[in-house]
Amino acid sequence: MIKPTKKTVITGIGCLSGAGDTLSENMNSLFNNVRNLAPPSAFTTNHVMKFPVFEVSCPLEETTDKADAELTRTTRLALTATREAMAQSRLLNRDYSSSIIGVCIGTSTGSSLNSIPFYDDFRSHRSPDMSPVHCYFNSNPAACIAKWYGFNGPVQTIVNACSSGTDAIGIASSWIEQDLCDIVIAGGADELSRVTYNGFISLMITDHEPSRPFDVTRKGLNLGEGAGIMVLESEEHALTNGRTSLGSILGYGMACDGHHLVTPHPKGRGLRKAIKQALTFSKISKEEIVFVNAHGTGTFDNDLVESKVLADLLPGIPFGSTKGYTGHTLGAAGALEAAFTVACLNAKRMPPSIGFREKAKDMPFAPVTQVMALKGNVAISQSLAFGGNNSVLVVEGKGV
Amino acid sequence: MQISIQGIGPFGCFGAGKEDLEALLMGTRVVPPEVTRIKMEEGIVEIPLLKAKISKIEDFFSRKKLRRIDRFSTMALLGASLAISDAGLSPGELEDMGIIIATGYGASGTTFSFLDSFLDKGDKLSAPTHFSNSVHNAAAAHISCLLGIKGPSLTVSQFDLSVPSAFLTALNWLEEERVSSVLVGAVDEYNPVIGYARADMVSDDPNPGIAGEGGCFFVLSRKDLDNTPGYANLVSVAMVHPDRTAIQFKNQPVIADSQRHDSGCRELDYPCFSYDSLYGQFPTASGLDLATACLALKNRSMFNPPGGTTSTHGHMFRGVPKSILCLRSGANKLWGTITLEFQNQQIPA
Repeated sequence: MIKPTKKTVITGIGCLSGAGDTLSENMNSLFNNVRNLAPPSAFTTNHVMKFPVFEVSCPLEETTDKADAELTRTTRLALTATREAMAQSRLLNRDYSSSIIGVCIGTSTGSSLNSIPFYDDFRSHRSPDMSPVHCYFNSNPAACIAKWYGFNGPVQTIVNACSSGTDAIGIASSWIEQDLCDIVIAGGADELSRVTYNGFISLMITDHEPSRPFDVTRKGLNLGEGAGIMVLESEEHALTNGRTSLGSILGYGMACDGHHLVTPHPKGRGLRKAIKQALTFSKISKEEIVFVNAHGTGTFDNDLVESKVLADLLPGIPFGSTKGYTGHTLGAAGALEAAFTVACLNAKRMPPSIGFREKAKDMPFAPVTQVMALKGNVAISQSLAFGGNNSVLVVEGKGV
Repeated sequence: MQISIQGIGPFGCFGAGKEDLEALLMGTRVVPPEVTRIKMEEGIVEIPLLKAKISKIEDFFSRKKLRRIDRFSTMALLGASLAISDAGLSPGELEDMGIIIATGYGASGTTFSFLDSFLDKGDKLSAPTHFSNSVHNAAAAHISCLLGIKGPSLTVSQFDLSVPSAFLTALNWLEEERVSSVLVGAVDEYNPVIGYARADMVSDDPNPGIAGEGGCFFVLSRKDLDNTPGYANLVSVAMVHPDRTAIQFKNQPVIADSQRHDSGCRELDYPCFSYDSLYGQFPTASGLDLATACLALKNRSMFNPPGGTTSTHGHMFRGVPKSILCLRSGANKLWGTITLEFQNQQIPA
């Protein structure tokens, strides 16, 4: 591993989920046991049993130029969270030409042409309205954010399923460290749709009750939607421009299981490797980690594997899942959770893992069940994904 | 740090492997497009297509192993297997390799099959296998499982800039010593919906080109760890706005898509080649541009582009190429460039 030339600091955070329209509203829900779960309102299905979801209800950014095609909801979620993050870092309404600003965004559904009305007309040989196709070509999330603000750096849209948001932040951080960019807008976004709703129900990993990550009675996940965006910047560039650091990305690790398309390796082979790599890149010892924001979906396999790996590699370090508050937001999840992790470090407390009541016999230890004070400034946020991806970020708060 | 391209795995309408691609580029293999027809309310829509031939996958995997893998992932597996075989890597050398896949549309055919499942039979009967295979990174997962690759795995998707984006991260991973080698792949499949959408997009274009499918995989290694001869050195990858950042053309040939030439670049001061009329247009066809550049640097001669001239547009080029710049343009006037350089210690012919 070569020494990075620059350190990555966070100068702005934007979050949007079923738990709130801003980072501060999300944290308020996390620390007050609030969860806004309801049957989907944005689409209808003919499932007899309704599976509840976490929807975003606030107005989203939208194009005002009538010559432009419409934007997908995923991209509008990303743009809305980007505005909050950029406002915090005082980057709105600036001349961006003097800095190299990249965009790295993770998504899952945001890069798929899956409009049901368009496809239903097409397969019925009716001449379909092409506006969903134009919307799709106009809405690549990273390209759209770069175009919206006129940024001039590299652009990458990551489609790594549920680890996309974590990967986008990790890769964006390496762009800073390797001096490819001064600033990177990084994170993830995903919208709820009938397609993913049906997909997860068909896999029989969705719960019709509020999810219960790590609990003995867990039956699956609840889907959600949202976006988490960070303004990442080299420490030197932030200092020169008078921006305050909210925290840092210290390290990023990533490894695939090479085991199964939808099931994690039973011994967490890839996750172990990713955690070790993230710690190596961050140059810290595991004793400095004060908590782990786990993937914790509430599915049987994920939670079992994840808890065993954490007990083995990071014994005694408190952990929890925030998916009980937001649902599983797929490509946005890793970015939202990294943002929550930094916010927890700065608030010096972590929320309870909502939905958990009783530990299963084969699980080595339980998640946090009450608000817990944190004595330290470094934590881990991790994601496991379809395809056997495992991605881990080591993040630092702003300190005293 | 020097990065070398150690193996290539091209596949498309021409067949599979470097010999098949070379035969297409040399003109000893001619592949005419087939015409696909889509019945619509307004009449029959005819779409010429350069369809990929992927039967060579059975040289690498039994039908039993492929039975639950869709066509998109099968294409990716073929490219990956060809590139690894071309690089002469043994299974033991793959454990810590990274994978990065670039795709413009992902497994769109499988996505539509998934939609069919619930539009035909109701939401409750949505097909789980179609859903899990429709996820963009399913191809990377199948490669990882079947070839035993367990390093970092990434899939990127941003239409025509997917390939430069993937190479940017591959270069980054190698330079920060996260991995010692990376399998980088470009892959896109055709299906009637994509064909219909493309026909709408190019309806006003006087030179719409021919739709295609296929791609290419590459084995990239750090030269300090693997000094065996390769095709070329990967010198740089950039994503820039040409009106804000000048691109340095060092009297080298440029390989670009044919639409780029027709959208105002004829006046640029460089010899420009385009081969996509041979293998078709699709978002990640730039993977085949890169494979063509690898073969040209190895052969120390540019392939004559279709039509038999010494460049498609711009200056003529008759010399020995020392480096080749591959160029693609994308949304928001962003260009992706990848520069390859002649390697003194070349792979044996």
